[in-house]
Amino acid sequence: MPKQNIAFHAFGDTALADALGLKPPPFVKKEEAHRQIEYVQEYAGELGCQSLVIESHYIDRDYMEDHSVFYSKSLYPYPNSCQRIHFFSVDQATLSTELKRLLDVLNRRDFRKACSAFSERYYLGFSVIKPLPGCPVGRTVLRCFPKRKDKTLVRRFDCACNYPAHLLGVHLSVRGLAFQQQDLGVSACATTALWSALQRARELEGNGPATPAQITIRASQFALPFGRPMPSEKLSLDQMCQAVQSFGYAPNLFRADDFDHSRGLLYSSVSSGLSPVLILEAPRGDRMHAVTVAGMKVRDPHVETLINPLIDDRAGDLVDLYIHDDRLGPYLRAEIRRQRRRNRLVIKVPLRKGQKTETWYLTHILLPMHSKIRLSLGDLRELGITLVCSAHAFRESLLHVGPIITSWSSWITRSHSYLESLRVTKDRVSPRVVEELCKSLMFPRYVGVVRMEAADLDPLDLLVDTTSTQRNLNCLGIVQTANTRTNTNSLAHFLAFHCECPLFR
Amino acid sequence: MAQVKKKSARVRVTRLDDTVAHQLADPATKKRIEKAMARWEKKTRPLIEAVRSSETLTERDFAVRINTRA
Repeated sequence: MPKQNIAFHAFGDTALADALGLKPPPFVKKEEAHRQIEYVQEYAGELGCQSLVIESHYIDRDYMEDHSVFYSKSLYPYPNSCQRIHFFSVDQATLSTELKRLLDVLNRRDFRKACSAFSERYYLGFSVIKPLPGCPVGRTVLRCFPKRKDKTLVRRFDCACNYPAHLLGVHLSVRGLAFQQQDLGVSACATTALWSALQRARELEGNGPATPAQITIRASQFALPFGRPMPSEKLSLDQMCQAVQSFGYAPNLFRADDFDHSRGLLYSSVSSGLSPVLILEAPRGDRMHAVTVAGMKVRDPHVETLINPLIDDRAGDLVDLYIHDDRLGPYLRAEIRRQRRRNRLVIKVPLRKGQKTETWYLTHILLPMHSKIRLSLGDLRELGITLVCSAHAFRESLLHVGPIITSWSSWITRSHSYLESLRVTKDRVSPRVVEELCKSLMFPRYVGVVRMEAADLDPLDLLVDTTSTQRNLNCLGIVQTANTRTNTNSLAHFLAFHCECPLFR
Repeated sequence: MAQVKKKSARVRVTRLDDTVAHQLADPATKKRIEKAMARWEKKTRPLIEAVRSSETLTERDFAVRINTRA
């Protein structure tokens, strides 16, 4: 029976690869084999890591399955266990004392509470280190960057999930999105990107886990256009969609031809807490790549972005994305640019250590969604534009007021989360409105929201049933959050009439 | 004595009162709104077309091979 060894280390004294005793395999340069682990170390340093704990023997479900279908059949006896590193934002001595103090708590409820407070304060996440010298970084969950960037920018990690971990009898938890590097045996970038995106879908739906091995096997179940599945000969978009479908989700695929629309889809999907997979093309057109979006950086307060002289798209606030790139590391900041010549969305990833920026063109967006969500984010976007048109038409023909720039945004959310947001955000409504909404409407599991706002209009939400289709749209209601601006009342009435649904205010 | 309820204590779930409904259902008003709507739809047609074209996929889209190595 292997012996467990738990060692405390000060962070930053030595390179992580050296602390773990990792050596690159023959013919692979050290900087190539250890690029991701170096990035993980740098990122943990930016989060304020001061100490780390290394567990010498850890069974990781994802690696176990990779081992079972692939590595166990090699001549070289790869172990089936990994190492795991935990990162803490407190020095070694205090960490040790704090962990012991937690075990002194005798009441179960107090213990859980103390563990949660400890995690919130000190725990930065963990990284599983696989016994594969050429690609050691396995499942890695690190805390996201802090929310407020500066006075005008905020970071949003709506796609993050909660991950539990146990160390020395203490229950730890971290909020982030899992990352791992490709091993080119079981998985390449397409598999790894899907694996990260499905983490979030799994948290929302409580479905079974999707390991890299399962994703590759299911993707290549019915078609092998590019050869053998393992070692991975890469996947096609068709195979990626097959894999998503086989896990019980609906693969929503969009072509990214238009900058404004692509940016809008990205903004809506991250706002909806759905992690999209981006399909990227190298500028020369010779390589395609897949990455997962973990979060975004947006302008706050809002800055107008006109996609038509009188239509302001809130998605214009999107400045950067945070992506998981399995070749480089987690939470990479990716700048968003417009390619002037072809109006496409360009992603620029500034690399660290003085390397030049990488440029990619976005070609497709793949979004794994709950299969009962029939309205796509594209349909919702179209609905948003139509709704703004109706508001303009009403102002022009009945209110006889001059044109007023109207902004809109759309997203899909769990119904209970929407109701909760009505009470806890700055545009809060009276508790009685929430009560009335609950009593008089039948909510689907996911509700589509189109929010409209203007100088003469307080925020108005149109709620739509996501199980309906665009042709047979079921509008649930209009929620008027306030009545402080001149035309709110009349526009709310008109839209309720136009959408054939009740108005809540 | 008639009991007076505080206005703020009541939630109004409006199912459009008759006057508003009548006004909006008036054919002349309806026509005016429809005309304005048509004008706005024309203005936003490129935006709608961009949305629709992104979801009109062909075999070529699905055949894209993701082939970047680390």
